[in-house]
Formats: sequence, C-alpha cells, structure tokens
Amino acid sequence: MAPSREALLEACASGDRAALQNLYAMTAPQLFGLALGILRSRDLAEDVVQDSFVLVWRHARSFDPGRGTAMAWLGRIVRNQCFDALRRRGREAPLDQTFLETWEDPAPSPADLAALSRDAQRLRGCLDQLEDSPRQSLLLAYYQGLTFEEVAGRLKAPLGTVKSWIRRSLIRLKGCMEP
Amino acid sequence: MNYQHPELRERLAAEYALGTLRGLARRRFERVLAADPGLRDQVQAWELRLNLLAESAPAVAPPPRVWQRIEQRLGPAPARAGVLSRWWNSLGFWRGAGLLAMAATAALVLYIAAAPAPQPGTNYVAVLIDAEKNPILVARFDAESRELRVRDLRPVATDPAHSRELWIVPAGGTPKSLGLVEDNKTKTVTLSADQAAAVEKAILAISREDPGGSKSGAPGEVLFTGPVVPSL
Repeated sequence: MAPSREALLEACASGDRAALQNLYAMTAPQLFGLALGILRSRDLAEDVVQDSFVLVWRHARSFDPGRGTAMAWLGRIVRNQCFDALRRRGREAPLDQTFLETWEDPAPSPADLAALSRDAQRLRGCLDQLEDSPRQSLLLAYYQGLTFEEVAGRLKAPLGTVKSWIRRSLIRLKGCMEP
Repeated sequence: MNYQHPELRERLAAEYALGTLRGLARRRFERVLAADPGLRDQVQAWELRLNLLAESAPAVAPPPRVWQRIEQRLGPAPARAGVLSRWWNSLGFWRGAGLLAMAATAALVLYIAAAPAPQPGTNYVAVLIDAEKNPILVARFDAESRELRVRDLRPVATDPAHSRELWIVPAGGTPKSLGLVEDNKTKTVTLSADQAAAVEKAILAISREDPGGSKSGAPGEVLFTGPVVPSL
C-alpha cells in the first residue's frame, strides 16, 4: 500500500527528499488545481505550487497530525500563498475572467467521495446540509478566492445577503464538524 | 475594531481562513495576529477545517518544470548538506507557512545569534527589514572567507521590471554596491579586505532599481535595511 500523505510529510520532516517527491506526485495536481481556481493564471499558479513545496519541505516538522489532515495542511499553505501572490501583484482582483465562466462546483461523485479522508467526507456531509445558495457562496469563496462582492455579483444576490449566507454557513459548518 | 470580542474574533478568523477578508482589513488582521497567539490558533483551526476541501479540488497536472524548480531551490539532498545549509534551513521556522512571517525582528536576531556558529567570533548576521519592520532577507558574513551570503526569508514574487541591488554602508560612509540579488536565490559576494574590516558597524540595504541595477552608483528606492551584528 502506498504510504499516506501524513506519513510522507513526517518523512519529509526527517529530511527524506524522496518522500517529498512522492508527496508532490500524490498531491501537486490537486494543489495546482486549487491555485489555478484562485489565481486564474498558470504562471502564477506554477510559482505558488513551487513556493509552497519549498515551504512544505522546510516546515514539515510543524505538521501536527493531531490538528488536521496532511492535505488540509498543504491546502492551507497553497491558499495562503495564493492570497499573498494576489496581494504582491498589487491587486486583489482575480485575473483571467474566462476561468470564471467555466467553473463548476467540484462536488465529488460517490466514487470520489469514498476516496476522501474521513474528515473531508464529514465536511462534505456538513456542506450538504446547507441550502444551495449559501453552500455555493462558500464554495465560490473557497475554490475561486472570490470576495463577498464578487460572490454577490456572480450569484446576482445582494451583498448583505451573501455576507450573511457565508457567515452563517461558517458557523453551521463549525457546529457540524465539532466532535 | 475591538479584536477582543469573542464572536468577532471567531468571525474574522473564519473569514481570514476562507479568504473573504481581503485588502486593508486582511493586513490589519495580520498585524493583530502577529501579537495574538490565541487568535492564531483559531485561524489555524479554521484553515485546517476549510482546507479539507482541498481534497476535492479539480486535479490539473502541473508541468514538469515545477518539480524541477523545487529541486533546484532545495539544492542537494540534506544528507550531504553541511552545517551552513542546516543553519539556513533552521531559519525556515521564521518563514511562516505563508502567514505571519512578521515575527519581531529583535527576536529573530536573537534566534540567529543563538544558533551554533561553526567559528565563534568570526561570523556576523544581519536581518534586513522593511519599513514596517517585517524581516525580509537575512545575511550572514564569514570573516575568515570574507563571504557574505544574503537570501530571502520567504519566497518572493519575481519582478522582471526591476532589479534588487545589495549595498553595504560602512559607519559614516557612503553606500557601495555589492551587486544584484536575484529573487529567491542566495546571493554570495566576497567583500574587500577594507569592507570586511569595517563590517561590524556597517548596514546592509536592498534597493529597487531599473533592470541591471543603479546607473548612478547610488541606491534608488531603499526597500530593506539591517545592521550587521556579530553572532555568538
């Protein structure tokens, strides 16, 4: 059986470069997809994935499997790098509008769902309990890095409504995820 | 804004993690975060919760050059790395996982000064900070070889429209260029005997210049500066 992402991260912490390469092979496509969704620029997304894995290597020791999954830890680094990259460009607005048109909620199929970690399946279950528009708002903010204003524009909903959709969804998610 | 209010803290932590907190509000929140470990914990919990969604992100294979560049940047595998690279790697802690690298510079200097130095008494360090006192680059000088090494504490976005130029300013003297510093690469330069002798009271600086560096011989816009101090 292939080693888990968690085990690979722990091996990275002890200086195992081959583990980093395995981890990259296992996770880079999704992390690149994540960065592309937010940045809508291949160049920028490549830079972010590159920077992120350098950080992963250097910070592997700070990964604590008791606090979250390896993939969430990786996603956290990549998304934070994305927001830093947007900020460094001196603009917060996303770049290529054509990505916007083609985006779909990457809701996993039943087969994909089974491949998710237990925690991720649980989050998906909690998301399913939300109503459509609040859920969609949250997913647009997560996968596309949209601001409240951009989500409102996208869903043609009032800004105040979108804010309360997202804020209430976050509170409900936390309640649902708590043990 | 009252950052002590529990509901507001939780809401901002969640919105920061989701990314909907942007622009000035995000920056302001990051400054609060830097001094508030409890809030940092809340943010991290939210980040680890929301990023469970990363598992269902659409998979898009990155081109092979991405991994090649990662390997290039990490250099030779650590089994063969010497004391110096371990020392550099130990600084990784300060880069912050894309977040909160705004550690107090004084603490960083102490941390570096406390790191084991292979030749006590002959090494110097400098942390170059920006106008908001965020540490940006770190420099290390070996008095014996007269080699000065400078590198970014965090990956920086490359900016093809400008060059970054390194300067040394001896106490009471004028800035002298030490050449260009490429983004995300360690810059190594050998100081002259005179510069090396005066290094202890000198200041290092990075300026932003037109591509190729300063034509006038004087720095353009100074971005980062830091005094050179002896390490233990």
